[in-house]
Amino acid sequence: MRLLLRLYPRSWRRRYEREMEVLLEDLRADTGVLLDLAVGAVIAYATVVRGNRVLNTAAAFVHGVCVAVLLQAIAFVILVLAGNNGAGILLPVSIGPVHIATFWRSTAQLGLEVAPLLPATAVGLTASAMLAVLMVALATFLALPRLVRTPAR
Amino acid sequence: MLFLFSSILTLKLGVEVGPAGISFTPPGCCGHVYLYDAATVGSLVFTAGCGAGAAVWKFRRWRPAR
Repeated sequence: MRLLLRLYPRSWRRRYEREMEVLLEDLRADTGVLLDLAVGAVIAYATVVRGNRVLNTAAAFVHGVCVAVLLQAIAFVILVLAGNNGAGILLPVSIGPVHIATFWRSTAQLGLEVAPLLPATAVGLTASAMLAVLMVALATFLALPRLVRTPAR
Repeated sequence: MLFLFSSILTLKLGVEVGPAGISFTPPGCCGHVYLYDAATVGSLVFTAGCGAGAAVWKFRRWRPAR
C-alpha cells in the first residue's frame, strides 16, 4: 500500500507522506483503502494542477481535445447507424457543395451476395451499444472537472 | 479511434488526406465509410479549436486558490 503513495505529487508527499505511512500501518489492506488512495492521488494532482496557471491551462486544452474527439466519435457512429437503418444503399453527408462523408452498404449486406461477417442488425446493435458507451464517456468527461473539485474551505 | 470503430463494426474505411488517402479493410467487412478532405480538415480544426478554446477560457478565468 505504501507504494501507492508514490502516485501522489511530490509537494503532497513532502508534507503528508510520514503521517500517511503511519496511518496506513494501522489500516488493513483492502480494496476500499486501495481505491481511496487511488482517488486521493487523482484529487491531489487536480489540486496541484489547479494551483498552477500554465498546468491548469494545459489540462483544459487536453480536456477540450478529449471532448472534441468524443463528439466526433459520436457523429461517426450516428453516421453508421443512419446509413445502416436508411432505405437506400448510399448515405452522402455534405454541407452545400462540400462533401463531408459517404456511407454505403455493400450489396452483400443487402443479401445480394455472400453474407458478410456481421449482418446489418448486428452492426446496428453494436453501433447502438457503442453510441451508449460514448454518451456515458462524454457525460463523464464533461462532469470530470466538477467531480475532482475539492470543496471550498 | 476510427480504425478501432471500423474494425468493431466491420466497416471498410477510407480517409482522404489531400492527394493521398488511407484505407482500412477489416476481415468480413460489410459497409463502407469514406471521409473526404473536408471531414479530415474539419476534424483537425474542430479538435484544435475545442482544445484552444477550453485553454483560453481557463487561462482567462484562472485565479490563485485562496
